[in-house]
Amino acid sequence: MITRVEQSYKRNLASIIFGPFLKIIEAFFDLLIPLFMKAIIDLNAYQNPSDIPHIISSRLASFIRIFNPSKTAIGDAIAGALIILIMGIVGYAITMCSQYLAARASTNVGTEIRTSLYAKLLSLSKKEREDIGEAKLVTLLNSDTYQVQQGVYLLIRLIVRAPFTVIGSLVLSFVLDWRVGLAFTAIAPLVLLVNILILKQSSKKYIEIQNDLEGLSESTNETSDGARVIRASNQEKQENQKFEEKTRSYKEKSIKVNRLNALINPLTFAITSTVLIVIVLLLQNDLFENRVLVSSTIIAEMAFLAQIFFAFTQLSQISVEIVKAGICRRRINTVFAIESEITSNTNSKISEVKAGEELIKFENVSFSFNDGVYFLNNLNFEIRKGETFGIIGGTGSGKTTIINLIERFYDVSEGTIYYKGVPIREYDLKALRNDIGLVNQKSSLFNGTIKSNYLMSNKTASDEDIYSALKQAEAFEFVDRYEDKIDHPVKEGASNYSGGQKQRLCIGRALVKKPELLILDDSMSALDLLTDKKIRTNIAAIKEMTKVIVSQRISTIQNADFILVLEGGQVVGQGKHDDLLNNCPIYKEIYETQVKRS
Amino acid sequence: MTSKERLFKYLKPMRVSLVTSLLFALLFTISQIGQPFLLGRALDAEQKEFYIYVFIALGLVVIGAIFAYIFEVIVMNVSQKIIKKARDDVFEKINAISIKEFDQKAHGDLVLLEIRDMENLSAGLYAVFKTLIQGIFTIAVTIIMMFAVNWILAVGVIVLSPLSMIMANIISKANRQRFKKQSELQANVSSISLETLNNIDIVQSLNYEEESIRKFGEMNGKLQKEARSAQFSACWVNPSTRLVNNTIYILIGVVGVVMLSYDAKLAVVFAVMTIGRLSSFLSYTNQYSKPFNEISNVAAEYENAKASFTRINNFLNLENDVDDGFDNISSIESIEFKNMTFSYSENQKLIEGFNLAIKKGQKVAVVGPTGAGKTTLINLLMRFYDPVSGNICINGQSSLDISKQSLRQKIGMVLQDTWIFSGTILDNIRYFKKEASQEEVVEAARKAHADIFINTLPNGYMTLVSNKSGLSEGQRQMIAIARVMLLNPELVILDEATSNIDTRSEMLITQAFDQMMKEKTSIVIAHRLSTIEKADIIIVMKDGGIVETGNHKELMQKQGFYYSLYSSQYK
Repeated sequence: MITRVEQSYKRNLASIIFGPFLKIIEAFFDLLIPLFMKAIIDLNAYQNPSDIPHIISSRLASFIRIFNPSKTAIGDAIAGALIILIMGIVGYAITMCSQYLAARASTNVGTEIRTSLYAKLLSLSKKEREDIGEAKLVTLLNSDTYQVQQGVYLLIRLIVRAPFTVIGSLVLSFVLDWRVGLAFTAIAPLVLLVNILILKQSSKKYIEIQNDLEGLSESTNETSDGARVIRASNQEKQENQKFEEKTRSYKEKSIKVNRLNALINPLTFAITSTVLIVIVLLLQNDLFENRVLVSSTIIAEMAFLAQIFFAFTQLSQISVEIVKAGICRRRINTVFAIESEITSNTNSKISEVKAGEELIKFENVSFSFNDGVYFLNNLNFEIRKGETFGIIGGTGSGKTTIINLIERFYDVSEGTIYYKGVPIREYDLKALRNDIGLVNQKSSLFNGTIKSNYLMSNKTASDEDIYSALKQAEAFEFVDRYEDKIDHPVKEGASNYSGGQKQRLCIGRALVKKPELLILDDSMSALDLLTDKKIRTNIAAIKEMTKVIVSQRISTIQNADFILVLEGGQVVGQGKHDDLLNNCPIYKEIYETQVKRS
Repeated sequence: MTSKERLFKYLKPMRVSLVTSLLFALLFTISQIGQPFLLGRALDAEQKEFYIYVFIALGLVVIGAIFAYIFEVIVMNVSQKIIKKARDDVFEKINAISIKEFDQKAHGDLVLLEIRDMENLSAGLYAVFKTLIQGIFTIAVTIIMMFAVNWILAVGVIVLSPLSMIMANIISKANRQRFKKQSELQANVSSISLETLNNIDIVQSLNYEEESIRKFGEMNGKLQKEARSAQFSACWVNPSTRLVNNTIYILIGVVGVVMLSYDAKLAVVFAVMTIGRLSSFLSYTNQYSKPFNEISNVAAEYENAKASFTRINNFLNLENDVDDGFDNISSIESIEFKNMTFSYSENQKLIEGFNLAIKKGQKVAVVGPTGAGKTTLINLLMRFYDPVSGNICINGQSSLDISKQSLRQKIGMVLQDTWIFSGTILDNIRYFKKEASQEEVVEAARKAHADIFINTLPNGYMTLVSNKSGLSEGQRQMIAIARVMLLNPELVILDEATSNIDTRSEMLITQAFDQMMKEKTSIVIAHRLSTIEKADIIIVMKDGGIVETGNHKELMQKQGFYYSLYSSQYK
């Protein structure tokens, strides 16, 4: 696993360096073509290589002659053409090697970042994940990593080749004629500057446009979700207007960016064409004396300029992608850089306690998200081994937060939670969680089979263990009716099970772990009262297991050994059912709203 | 409207821009392509003419660049304007089609329509306007120029150039399959990660992290292999076409060079060759193949855009939901369902022979198991759907004759699926009554029992929320209830509106509603029967029909279906 995107680059450094290097060889061959073309023209005019009054052209002409001993004019032309063709084919083969390296290195990088980021996300605390935001996590994993991958790919293929083409053309222009080289040197930086300035501006705006586009997508989703409400309140026109404003802003920004981007090609074209004209003017005196020699120089220069123009066009096309890849790389690195606040300690030895002794103790526990709003405020209570501990309270009273603290999805802001007499922070995280069987409100089941879901909880569980857990969770009956029993598939989101079935399967999955502590967090809401009761009876029979049951339903917790009543993050009552009816008005109210009055 | 007609409709207001852009395109291709011709002439010319040629060429460069820029800007503007119009049209359509039509669409598809399809269309329009127009002009003008220079070489270039395009096409076709496979694997990887992120508490609680990472890594590894081969094959296009083009360049060059030696003989067949002509020609050889490659590159974009535009057009062709009622009502005095039959699909009747009369001021409760047709009654009353046969009468008049707008204005509705839009809580609560003051909003929130949790939020009523984030189901329902509390309509419909709210808050909310709805009509669908015990009439529905009616006391004495429902909840 890696902890920075750059580490993955380093691992593929060989490809990242060697790939562009190969590309350079190909570009070099491409640059030689115009020179050879000049030599062919000159040779045709002067007949004899040593007569050509241009050193490089003369040398290349002699080289061509090696392959044309007959010295005929047509033979020269064919020999020259063959040399260039062979170079082209060799260059092609080399470039394919480079392309392969690019494909390999980029997919390596993308895959490695993706898996490492996935692992990182799993190691973060709930709070840290919520800070990043669920939607962004998905984007990071399933879009940003691909963008970085694409960046590496383009980097190897084009980023080095294009500047090399530019610099190579520059050098070879001097080789052609120093005046040509000078004219070129004067204007090449200008083209570069124009390109860089424009792209810098537009890539900034590009991010804004992307945000606008996300806004359009959200609006569409929103109006779809609210279709009935919008129609019921006759607000269609207002919604359309809101959207119209957004599309207008998007359009205007796009047009602005386009106006800027549209400058690149004409400007580059104008500048490169002007260089050519300037060169023709510079060489005019020689031209009237030595027409062919100067013309062939200009022909070669035209070819260089065409290559440069192409290189710049490519650069401007891919630089947006590279900028995006850079942004994504930084975003991914920010996540890699998060040091998870939930740290695991080394103490993996968890002692044994006897029934009736303290298992969990909350001592002055408060919890807030750094913003001063307390979700839990100064909680004090104990849970004893083997007992059934009920927690009841209204929407947003902080019930689930207690569970999140016991599981160490969050760490307390103030106070201490003890597990078997030791602060839970001192335990090895895995050892602690291994002791707990959690069933949450969501009924989380995973794509696979019933069995695969149960093995997630307890790797060593036998089929008998699974069946007995299913029985305890009152799920055996419907599972037994499937032909494939516990091998019955679980589809994505467990869409092939009803709400009640899902809850029972989840309870069974927690039980197959044979946990020290079972936590049912509002996880029987979809069950009818009879099944609810049966399950509670079944688990009450597991004497050595401690049960924490969170519910909004009085009937689910009224038989608990101890009940905690929460309201607005504070304990407003604790004790047994009968005591609470007498001394806790809120509990009494809840009771009265749910239980038939006489 | 067919796709063609629709496209024409969008293009029509742009006709001036389009014609202008054609003109500029023609001008700039002529000036850009004229320049190598003039330079070639200059290379062959004597001193006096030399200057004329060179300076005209320089002038053409400047004019060509300016025209090219103007052309590009016009094309961009036109395509952006069309996209904006199409986006707005689709959005309006979403809000204009009947709920019946709407319910058959997946929300995700609508988003795809607004985002992906529009982006495709935009890319396609730009590609067609720019690449195609510019390409065709370039090809045409270049051909003319080439023939003007030397017809033998011109024929050679015209015959050889399409080679690179053919090459590119063959490669792209071969790649399509690979890319398809790659995107399938990408979808797999993405769904694994989604599943984990959605259930991450349980993954951590089960200590399943390592195993999960291993599984993800495995799928990711499969993707890696496929992606590598897809990436690799994709990049054959550029070098291959470059190889072909370079070969053509050399062939033309070499033939040209040879022709230089036979200039006198060639003059007989009107194919004079000079060094200047050769320079023009080589320049055209480079230029001529480019538009072919560009056009073949955008062929895929064109296909995508065509498919996307067909989807957009199909959606825009849906019938609007017309408000054909001609009468406005000033109040709702009575509601009567008369012998009504309804079904969502033709072969399965959901509601049959349904009769029910509600008078102003009554509190009506509808109970029954899932699938009994309770929510359907609301859909029909709100005229989201219309009955297959029978009638709903408001004040004795068929609701089909009453304008939907005037009917819906009188009704406040809270559904089980609450809707929160992105904005402040304040704006969300006053969605039905935009002119409400802050005090009124707070008062409504207090009645909806939402005040308490809103005040614990960092920014209180100014907290930004959206449909996806921030609030729990129960809190969302409280906001939705506050909306209706603020509206204070004469008819309230609550469809499982408190299903996710704890029972104590629910009781307080119910009390607030009872207070508000004194003398007014309410229709309540509830799962928890404790909230509807005080209703004037309880309608017990099962399988699309009424099985019992009466008040709580009567129904309990009857010991029928209601009694068994009720007892099952309180045992």
